[in-house]
Amino acid sequence: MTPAGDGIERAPEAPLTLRVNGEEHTLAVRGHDTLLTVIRERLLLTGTKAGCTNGDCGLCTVLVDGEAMYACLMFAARCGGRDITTIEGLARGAVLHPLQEAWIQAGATQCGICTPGMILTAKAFLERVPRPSEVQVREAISGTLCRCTGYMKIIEAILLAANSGAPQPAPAAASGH
Amino acid sequence: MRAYRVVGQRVARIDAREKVTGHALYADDVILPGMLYGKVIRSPHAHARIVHIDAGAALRRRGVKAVVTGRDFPDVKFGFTKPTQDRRALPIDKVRYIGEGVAAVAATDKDLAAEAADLVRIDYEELPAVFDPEEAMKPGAPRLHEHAENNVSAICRFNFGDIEEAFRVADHVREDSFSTQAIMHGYLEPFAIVARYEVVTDRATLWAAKQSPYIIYRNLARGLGMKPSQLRIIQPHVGGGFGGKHEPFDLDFSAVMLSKMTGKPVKITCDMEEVFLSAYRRHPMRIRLAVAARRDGTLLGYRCRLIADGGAYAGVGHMSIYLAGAFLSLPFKVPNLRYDADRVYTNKPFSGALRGHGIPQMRFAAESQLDALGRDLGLDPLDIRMRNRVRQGDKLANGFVVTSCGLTESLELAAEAVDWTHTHGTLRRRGAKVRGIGLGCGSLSSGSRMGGHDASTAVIRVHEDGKVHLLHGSPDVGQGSNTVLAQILAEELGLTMDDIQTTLQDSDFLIFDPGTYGSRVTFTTGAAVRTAAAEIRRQLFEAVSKEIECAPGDLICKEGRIVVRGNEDRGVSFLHGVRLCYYKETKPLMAHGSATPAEFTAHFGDPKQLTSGYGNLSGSYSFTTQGSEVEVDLETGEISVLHFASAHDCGYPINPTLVEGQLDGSVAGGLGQALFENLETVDGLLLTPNFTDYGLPTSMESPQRSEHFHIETDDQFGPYGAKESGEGTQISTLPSIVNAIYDATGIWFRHLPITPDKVVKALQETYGANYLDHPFFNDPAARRRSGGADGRGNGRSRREERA
Ligand code: FES
Ligand code: FES
Repeated sequence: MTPAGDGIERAPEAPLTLRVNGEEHTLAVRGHDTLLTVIRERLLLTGTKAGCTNGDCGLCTVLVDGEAMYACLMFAARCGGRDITTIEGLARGAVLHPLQEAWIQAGATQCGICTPGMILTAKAFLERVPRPSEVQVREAISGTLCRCTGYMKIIEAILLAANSGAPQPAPAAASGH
Repeated sequence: MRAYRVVGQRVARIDAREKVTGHALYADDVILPGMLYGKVIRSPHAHARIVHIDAGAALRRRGVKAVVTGRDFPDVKFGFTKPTQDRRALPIDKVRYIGEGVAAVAATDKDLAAEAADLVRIDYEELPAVFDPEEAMKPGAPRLHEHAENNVSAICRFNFGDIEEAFRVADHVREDSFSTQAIMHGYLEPFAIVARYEVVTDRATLWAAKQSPYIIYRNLARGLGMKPSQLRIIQPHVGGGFGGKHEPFDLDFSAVMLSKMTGKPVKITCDMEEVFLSAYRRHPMRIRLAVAARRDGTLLGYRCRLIADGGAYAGVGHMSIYLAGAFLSLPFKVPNLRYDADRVYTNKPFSGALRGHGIPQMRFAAESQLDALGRDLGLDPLDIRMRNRVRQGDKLANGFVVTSCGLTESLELAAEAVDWTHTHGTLRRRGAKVRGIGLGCGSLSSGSRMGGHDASTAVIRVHEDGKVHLLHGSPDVGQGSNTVLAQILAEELGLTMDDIQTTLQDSDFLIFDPGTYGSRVTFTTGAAVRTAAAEIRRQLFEAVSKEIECAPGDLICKEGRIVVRGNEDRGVSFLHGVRLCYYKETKPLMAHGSATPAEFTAHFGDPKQLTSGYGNLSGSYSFTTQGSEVEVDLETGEISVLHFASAHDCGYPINPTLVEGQLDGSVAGGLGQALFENLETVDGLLLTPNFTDYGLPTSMESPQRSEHFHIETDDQFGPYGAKESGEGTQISTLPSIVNAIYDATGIWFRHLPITPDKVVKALQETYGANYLDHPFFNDPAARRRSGGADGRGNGRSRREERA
């Protein structure tokens, strides 16, 4: 059951310039292409994972202007001119970001499928709240699922990264929650 | 005192850098030139005859390359054992559940594939369906499979000891009913496969999200009418398995066949809703359990009737109900057992293996019943557990042999962690919140002998530059087995982790072992690595002994050198030894080793054995006790887990960090089943097709505090004394939580999950509308007097009867 002919009708495409991990890419996207589709399938940055593609798991999290966003829920066409960071943009060559190091040290990755989204979520969070309490960390990552770790070692890793290289001690207790 | 340098250490995962940088490749990350995208078309009916499939409109759409249906495959069925071969690549006669794959399309992009899937017209004739296993067993119920009368797909009939006598002489008996819900594995990576069929070689290469490629290797080949050697399976990283990625699925068969039809590689990635609809799940079980005991709490016997909802196909369900019965006793010693189990077909996705495989359901029933027994007899649940615990050297009624056992220590440690003696049974209320603590124990086999070949194989190659490369046949699905195996290898050769490399499995380069299930990898594959490493040492020592003129038997590998035992200045570097082999002996340095559980276990690939149940399942068994503390909000019925202490005897933790990760993950999964998760269906239609509605725990629901205790028992068979550590702890989580809720509220929940609405309803029913004012929640003394609402009335005390 194979059809003849090959010219394919498609939805119209529009040009878009995306800045991902500091590099500019000009490409043609369709109106309904999500940022996740473009990152994974057009830019071939497969470190960003696709889980539910429905805003339900957080696997696809990337940073858009420093904020953690579900790439599966964003239209690529609306990301022109914004600064996008994916997991590939975190390490400098073989030198890992402190969060990545903390992840390794704490044993916070198992199957690893949640790891890219979780690390980026943590990065955006620590930039806002550099010395968080455990409760704050829990809340910050509650939009990203992990089935393997029970979140314990992920929380540990984030606290570890927050406290590493830090001159001042972390606040003693949770506040405001 | 052990003096290991790599084994027993908290070394980083061997794949950690790949994973934290996003470089680890998973199946959906594989992109091949000219690749097409496929989409599976799923049944909207729970039970229907497939009358006609018209793919014309889809195929006329430009960019659509092929449509595959069940008729494109050979007329064969496959399955776990001969009597359970009931599945086809895609169905040809009828569909048996909503979400079952019926056909698949391939197109030049994903959107087109989705469009084409809508254009395939499938005419069905609906059939009466049956969703309840007990209904399905009644005469006249709709039949799912021609061969299965009363829809029974598998049975177990165990009879050990003298059950009649046990119940006759018992001082006390009680009988209770339990039920558990369907839950999913919860892997966050959906099913995905890339298949490339090459017509010139008549072979297909597959990259698939699978945890046991051997099982696909066999069953996929069978369903496709190919020989296993015509398939090349390249293992990518897997985004979680938990027992859920063993079987070949509709998308796997379809991708290969579509590739064959089009001559192009084909990728099919399911969306998560398809996983919710079609993936196999944990068996919902209905359990009727009668226990016979002495007044001092000694367990004399269990009589158990179990009905498992098997869904539409057999899968490995015979094993699932076997395991539920096999662990009716362990971790306790119960001399008389009677177990009658039926696994029944219903019009729902099929049930299969999931972390702990069949055992958590049974242990939830048996262990929470122990606490009720304690209330009946006025005994402390901890004492009952202590009294009945197994010990090293015990042989159980069903033939299990306990070679090492840390249950005693684990009970002590977990009890202490939750301050059992001072806390259990006391009233701890603040506002509308009450707290309680509970204990649960568990045990699990360290691998078992199933169908097919049972050996694990490791291949070690030492490069000329001294780096050691390990290939083995058991995929790491996240639990960290590649790291543990590399640690074993480094230790055996006196090297560090930096000296070891591993590559994920490729069926063209090695022999797949049965796969990653039943907690077998460290135990069995670890032994294979040691055997292969010993052979590498032999070759090295032979070359080096000539060089430094000593007996090969005097040499050891130590800290990157090969030296004479007792005279460690004499020797050469490891690299020098390697070069002697290559350049002087002109022999490449390479070895393989195999290991099998067959020498100490019965063969459970045999259906007769599964039915009658006698035999030793595994070379060794892990033991756990988990103590938990919960807080129940009496107003809302919400339950939070405050503290979870796992005291675990895995023989010897080769990597404590990885073992802790397994413990935490098991707890989170068990907690999910106890309190939240549910694949709820109405007439076969899933009401919870996403993580939020389904209730997969987030960071907010996981325990507020988690503690681990490693107990070393140094198993005689396990590598470095290690045993199972991946699944066993999910077994004790359910009863631990259920018992803690029992302690907090006096209500024993026997039907999972324990959702807030159920809690409030039970509180009202038990203590009246003003339950917050009930003495049970206000008067500490009332608590001690009361047997708890559900703990009473059901048990019969023989002593009283006789009086
Ligand atoms: S893939 Fe975007 S939230 Fe799940
Ligand atoms: S590490 Fe597997 S889902 Fe988080």
